[in-house]
Amino acid sequence: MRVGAIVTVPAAIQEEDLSLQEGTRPQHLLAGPLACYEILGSTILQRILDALRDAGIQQQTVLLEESGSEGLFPSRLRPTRNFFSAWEGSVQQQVDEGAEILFLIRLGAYLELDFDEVLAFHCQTAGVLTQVYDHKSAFDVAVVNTNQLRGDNGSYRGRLSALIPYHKRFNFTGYTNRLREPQDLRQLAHDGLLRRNSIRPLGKEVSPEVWMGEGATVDSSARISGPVYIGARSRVKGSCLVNGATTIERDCEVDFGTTVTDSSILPETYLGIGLNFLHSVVTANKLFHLDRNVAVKISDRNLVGKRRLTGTLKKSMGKKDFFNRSGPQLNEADSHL
Amino acid sequence: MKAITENSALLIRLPERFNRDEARLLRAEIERSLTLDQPCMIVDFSNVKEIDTAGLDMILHVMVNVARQDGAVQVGNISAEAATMLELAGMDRILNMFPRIPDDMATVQVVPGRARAKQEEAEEEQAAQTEQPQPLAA
Repeated sequence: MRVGAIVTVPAAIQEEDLSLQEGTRPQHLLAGPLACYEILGSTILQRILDALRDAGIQQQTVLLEESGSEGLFPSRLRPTRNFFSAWEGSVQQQVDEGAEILFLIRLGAYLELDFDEVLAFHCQTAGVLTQVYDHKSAFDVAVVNTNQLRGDNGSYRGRLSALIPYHKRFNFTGYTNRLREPQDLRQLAHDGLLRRNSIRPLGKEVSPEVWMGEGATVDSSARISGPVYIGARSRVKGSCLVNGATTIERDCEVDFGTTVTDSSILPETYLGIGLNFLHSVVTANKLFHLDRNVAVKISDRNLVGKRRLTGTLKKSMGKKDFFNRSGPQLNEADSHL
Repeated sequence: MKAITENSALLIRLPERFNRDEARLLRAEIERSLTLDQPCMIVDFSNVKEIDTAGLDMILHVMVNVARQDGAVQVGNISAEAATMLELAGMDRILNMFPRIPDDMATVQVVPGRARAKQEEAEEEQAAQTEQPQPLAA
């Protein structure tokens, strides 16, 4: 049986929306979809694609949503023409390539789903459409028989919508994270370091519960108290203290004497000299304080900024392209990311 | 600005963006007021959304000068953003070391630079509105 997958990535939040929402919607700390931010060295998108591949689902398509498109099934109420045509084209391509069953996944939440198990449930119940649920609500993961989508009239999405009343529920009880707020992102990283989920740090465990990515460096006077993750090419300078299940993603720099406790530092971030980062998610220009539930814009590079990369570092980074690392097809304009 | 006396505290109301320019203006205002022994200062951070290193440096400068004269600095109202920035710079711990200013002490307000100009503008506007003749009832 040939099984394909269409993975849609929610739209990035536009800058104008960010400025409007500043201070009122702290989840807008991050301009892009949370699924595209690296956690312990790899994005959720990449991890899902790997899980699909491990389940033998090689035929994968990644689609980037436009803003205004929400939900697993393309909505008639909020038409975004380019996304629809890309989605229709992707289904057509999967059908043409012989996919009999199609996974439709929208990367809103992170869930550690056994795709084989879902597929077995779908086949055993002889359903036409299966959607994944937990005890609270539905997830944006569904399985559909492609023969139900074939037809001469109308669109694929029209035929898919007609199947919704007949869908079967797959009840999922495993690890989930809805990835709506920066706290969720932090929780996911924290759980990964404490082995509460199956996200494993991308790097070597250099001492008990301390993982370091390729090319990461820590000054001998710095104190690292695990569990801690220091991503590829990141640098922790002298007299720093890193502890409390902190994750420092790739290409970051923690300058002299700074303390980082129970925080997640996102890629390419510079942390200034002698500062204290506590219970925070930090990007190159914003700090989200998890306890106070507030996002603070920081435009002074002496405090927080984008790490300035040296020529050697740039060379060692190579071309950054997290969509195409494993070769899935990416449709839609990728300019959002 | 009213003159500060031995029985009054200086209330410094910081602007939304406490950056280099605002810090420079505030420094000039405060240094004029820091002539007494044991000065008392209350810093109001309630409007603050952003502080840069110059702003943090200015607060540190005030604390050092007040400490030298055995005075007291106290945080008045504080926004979550300002609390985060003070914690980031480790200044929250220093501010907590000062003795407490009595609650009943009279205050003399200082609002630096542009924020003061805005406040004065708003006060003038309010005054103009109250002076306008009210329409007569028909």
